Amino acid sequence: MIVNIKVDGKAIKADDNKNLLLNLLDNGFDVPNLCYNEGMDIYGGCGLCIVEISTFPRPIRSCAVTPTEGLEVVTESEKLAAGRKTALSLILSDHQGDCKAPCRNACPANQDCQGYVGLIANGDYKSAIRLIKQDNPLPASIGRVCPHPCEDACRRQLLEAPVSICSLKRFAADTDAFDYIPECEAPTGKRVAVVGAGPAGLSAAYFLARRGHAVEVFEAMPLAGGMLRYGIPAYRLPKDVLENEVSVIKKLGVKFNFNSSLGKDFTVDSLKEKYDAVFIAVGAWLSSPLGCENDALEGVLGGIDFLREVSRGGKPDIGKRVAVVGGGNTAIDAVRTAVRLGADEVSLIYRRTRGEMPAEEAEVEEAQQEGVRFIFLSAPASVLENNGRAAGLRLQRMRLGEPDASGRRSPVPIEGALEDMEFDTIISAIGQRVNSRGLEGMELTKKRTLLCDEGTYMTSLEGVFAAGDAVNKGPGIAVAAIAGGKNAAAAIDSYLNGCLAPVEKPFLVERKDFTAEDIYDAQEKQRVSVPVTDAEARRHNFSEVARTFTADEARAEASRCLECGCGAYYDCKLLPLLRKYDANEAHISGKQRKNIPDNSNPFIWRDNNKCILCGLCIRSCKEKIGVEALGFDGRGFTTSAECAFHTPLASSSCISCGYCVQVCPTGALQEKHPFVKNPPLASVKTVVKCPYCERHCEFERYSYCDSAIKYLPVSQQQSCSVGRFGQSFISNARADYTAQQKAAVHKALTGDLKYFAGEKSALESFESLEKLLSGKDK
Amino acid sequence: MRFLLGYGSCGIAAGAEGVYSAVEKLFEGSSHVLEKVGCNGLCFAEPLMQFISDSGESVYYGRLNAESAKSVVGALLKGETPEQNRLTAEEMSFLTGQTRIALRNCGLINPESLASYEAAGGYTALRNALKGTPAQVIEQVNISGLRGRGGAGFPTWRKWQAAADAPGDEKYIVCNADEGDPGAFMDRSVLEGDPHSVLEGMMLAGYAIGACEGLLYVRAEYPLAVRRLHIAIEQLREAGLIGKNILGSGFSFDFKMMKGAGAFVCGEETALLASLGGNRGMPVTKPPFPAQKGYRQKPTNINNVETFANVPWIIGNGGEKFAALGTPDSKGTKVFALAGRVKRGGLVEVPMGLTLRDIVFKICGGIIDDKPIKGVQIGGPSGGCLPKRLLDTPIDYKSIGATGAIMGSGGLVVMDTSTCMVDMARFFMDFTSKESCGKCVPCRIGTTRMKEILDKIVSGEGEPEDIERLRTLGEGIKSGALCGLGNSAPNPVLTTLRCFPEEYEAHINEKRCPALKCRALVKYRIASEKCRGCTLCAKNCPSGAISGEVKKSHIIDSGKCIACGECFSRCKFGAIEIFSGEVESK
Repeated sequence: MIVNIKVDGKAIKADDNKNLLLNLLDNGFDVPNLCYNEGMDIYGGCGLCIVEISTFPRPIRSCAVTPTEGLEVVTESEKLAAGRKTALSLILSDHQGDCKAPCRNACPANQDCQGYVGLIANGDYKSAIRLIKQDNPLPASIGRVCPHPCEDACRRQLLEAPVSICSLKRFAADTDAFDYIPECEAPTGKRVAVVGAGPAGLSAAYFLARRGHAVEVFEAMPLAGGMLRYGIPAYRLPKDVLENEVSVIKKLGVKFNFNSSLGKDFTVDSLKEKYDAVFIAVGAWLSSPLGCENDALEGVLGGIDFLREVSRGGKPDIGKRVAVVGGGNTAIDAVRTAVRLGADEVSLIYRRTRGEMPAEEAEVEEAQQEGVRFIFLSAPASVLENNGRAAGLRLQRMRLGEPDASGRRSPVPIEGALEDMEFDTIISAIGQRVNSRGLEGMELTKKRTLLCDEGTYMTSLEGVFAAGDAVNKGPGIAVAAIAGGKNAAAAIDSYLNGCLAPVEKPFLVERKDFTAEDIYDAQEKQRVSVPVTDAEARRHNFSEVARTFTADEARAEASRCLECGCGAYYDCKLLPLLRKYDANEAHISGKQRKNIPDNSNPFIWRDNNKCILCGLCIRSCKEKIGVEALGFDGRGFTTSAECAFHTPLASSSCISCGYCVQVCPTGALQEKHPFVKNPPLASVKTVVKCPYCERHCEFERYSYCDSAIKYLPVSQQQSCSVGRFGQSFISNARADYTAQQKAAVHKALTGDLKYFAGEKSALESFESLEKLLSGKDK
Repeated sequence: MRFLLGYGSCGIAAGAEGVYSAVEKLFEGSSHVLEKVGCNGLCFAEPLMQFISDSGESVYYGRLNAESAKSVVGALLKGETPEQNRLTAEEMSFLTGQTRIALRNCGLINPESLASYEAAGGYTALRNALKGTPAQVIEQVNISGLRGRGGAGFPTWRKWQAAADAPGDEKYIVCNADEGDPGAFMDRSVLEGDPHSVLEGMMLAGYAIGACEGLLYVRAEYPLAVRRLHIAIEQLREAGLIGKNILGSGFSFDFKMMKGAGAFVCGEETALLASLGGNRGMPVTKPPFPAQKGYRQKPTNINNVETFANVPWIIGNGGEKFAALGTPDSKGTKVFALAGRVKRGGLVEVPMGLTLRDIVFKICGGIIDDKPIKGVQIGGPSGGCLPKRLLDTPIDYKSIGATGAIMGSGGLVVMDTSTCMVDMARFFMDFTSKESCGKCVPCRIGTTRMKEILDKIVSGEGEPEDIERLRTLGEGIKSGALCGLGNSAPNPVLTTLRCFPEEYEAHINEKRCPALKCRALVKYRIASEKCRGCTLCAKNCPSGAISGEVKKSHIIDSGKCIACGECFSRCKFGAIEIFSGEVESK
């Protein structure tokens, strides 16, 4: 019967044959729920669908209410939000997993490492570069120079060594060969000026252009790339690679004005007049002086000044004996460049020890191979002079004292321990500063960097934004500048749309207690090391030291990925609710149930660490499929969904229809397709017909670019396991399938073998197909 | 002359079997017999024998063993009235202060005999009722004002009426005998001592709503109750009191019994029904209520043991007589199970409206060792704590509810100053967190989170914010849980937070347990002036923390001491001192 009810002040017609929750959902009210599924018995477990109704004094689960004539319902109130927050925080307190993989969380630019590594493993390089370019406009360059915080976070190192994520990015970019030109939205008519064509400026220009804004870049130097071009030596990043990446940005319609310097050729004010927004990314281009006596003598160079001169084709006369002071990547770049310029004796002087060097380990090693001498625990006390020119250094010997704010032990001078050493050239690579010319009238920090808001990237001048090395904390790694440009572009876009919104890192569930014991079934597989030219060969020229992976190397390396990020990220019903109601660990926390995931079934992966016990899998298996492969076990906090007698799913009565995966609101049940990896990706849906039998059931095919992600029966209906999981066998772009193999699979599934839902032998047939494909059983 | 020996589980546990076999022979050749009866509630004096003289006077002998029983029975058989083991007049006030309706036959009849029950007036109510209409039965229950004795206190007649009004021919009566509250044993006593009263009550209810079958859901931990119920049902079958067309009335009714599997939550009616139906015992959302859709999806009426036990009396004596007892809001009597630091523990049935103080002090004789009372925990894990200042609260649904506690099934745990309220709240949270069915989030995870916070507090790691955390979580669980178990689970914490905030604060801010109970917060030391150097403590210390020479004062190494309390209980000179929160000076 139809009854009239009032919801949030709005009159609606409700059907009293359906519960109130369903009526509310049907009428477009966004009532949260995690344990409800139309067509199944009401459960009432999650407690999120609570509403306030006129006939009951307290909030009540709307799934348990039958609408009656005149009922008044409130679906959103402070009280309800508080109740939902508590319930969600409780759920979260026993929900263990990683929404996103640690590599992605560690990347300043939030690149989907697991996504592109997975696509590379599956052989779909084309999709991989498309995914990479969602977050990074310069993957070929960054894939060569990045100190890869992603790899530092990679859990594979708990087993042997991290996945070579950075080199895989380079592989994808080099394989694409700058062919992919990202799509841009329709022109908005808004104009943005970008000052500086370094990674931050290029990144902002790229993302703004993709959003349809007209971007014009002003660059003081004659070419684009900033520090990537003028600070990083060619043996690490060949300049044509960078130029090719810039050319893609040009193809997006970005205009470049070179040799055009802020404070000289134009001012911020002049740009403000002509453009709807201004983005400043001028970088930090001044070398910090040594800060000791005689540090301005001839023969004392700034590290980045030296590198810039060389990268512009100059051959500075540095003599035979060169000292570089500093322990960071610039110092390493300087010593290795000095070696290549022909200096006989190149020394790196660092006040702490090798263990404390901020430079990347591999680079330090390569420098050592190239003959660089390392002088640790020493700092310049003064520059020695001869005829008005630097002739050496007086070094103060140091020892390590207490750890400082960075956690590294700080150097303490040993009194009286001084030593003189002779050098022809001394290069200071101890830091960079921002040239504040042209920044007058804008607020600066104490470090003389440009002050900008951490969220909106806006400076003290309205409509003027900034990021990169020039702002706040000062210089950082290139990918952080890429991130700054990307985030600032998003903020600028919101500003141009009339509503400035800060860029915030959304809440994600992260596991903080992960140890080697949590890696259950991964086999040890050595990291494929990046191939480098022999030290003797490389020290005489500026040719690129490291080469790109071959496809075989790349796929072997990518297949090492442990796939830490949740496979259900894009289908998760829990995460959006955690965000909406601001549930977090700080609210409620406590011990968590520890479970070993069940990987026994070839198509379904079960991880009780993520299970929120909504019971949908158990109930649907019983009520809809009639199989009862799963049931509740135990009681109290340790209640869990299990197969009878705790057997693995593969030994249960499960028919692998995958319906439980469809209804699972989190990633506790995930599907496994016969791909090397199953990366979680934002997919698009098309409807296809299953080819396996004459029924030709309709399926929704979910895909990312060329890669099939999964097949679901239309309208969340049930399907047989052949249709549900078998279609990916023949349709996806798995590169190692030969044409014959694909044909064999197709024939096997459509011709000789016909299996329908409920038949256990379907599993066996898949297993034999898997063997067929892997060539073990031909 | 009648000799009645308490032979309930409690009596047996206290040694009634030994007493029985010791005195059995004395009755050989005598015209008298020793009758085994259920527990009469004087648990504090078990094993217990009631002697009823020919003139009808009763004398009670308690705390018997084989030896004392022989001499007492021997003397009685000779016509003497020995004073040995006889309960004092003061002790007898435990019984004389009571008004027994549900327990009317407990300890007085042979629970394994239908004749014994019928001799006490059993089944007359049913016989009479079958001559009238079902509506008349409901009407009498309505007049009596009887409310559900299982805990929630819902008016019984309304449940019956709803089930009677529900369409359908197939209806069921279910007796909830899954008594699970720690410390509550009134249902067991009734089932063991007077099973027929429950069966008769169920039959009356069945007649009232038009049910065909009565299902008893009895916890498996009550084997004696199960056995006696089984015997009682078979007796009814033999006597033709169950089956088709009972006593020619046209009313057909039969019983089925099922043993629970030990889940506390199955005391919740919808979980009980799920369990009865062969499913996992998990509550479901209401509506629909069992009266509309219950066992086998048919209209079902569920009542608790004590509720059913009251019904034959009400029908037999008229609803008005029952309603004359108690208060306007809560009529009749209620059985309480007294436990804890009280002198005379046991089962007490009193008219509603009596104060807690009357029960604890007048009937139960006050606190052991006459220590100061701290409060009373009422209603088990779902109930709450009432402090000393609320002792004059009349026991009725409304007044108890107003304190934040609930009447519950009737467990009353009396606490003196040696009880730590935080630790007690932690005990109950531990219980409910383990007994949650796992279905709804607030109960499954929330109770565990509360318990974890309490663990933290009793181990001296509490933070000031924990109090607010407990309060918010508690309120969240109360309003968000699916069933009664979860709705009431935070009560022990919330009521102690309200009534004993200073104890929480002492644990958290001063790292002190005022009751000297929480191990992590207490320290032991030896008062040198009292210690005689007997070495008993040192010999028994499991962690080797005590040292000293013979006949010289000993000392405790607080670094090694695990605060087990062994030395304290061993010391004969009161030399062991327990302290908490003070800075150690000695």
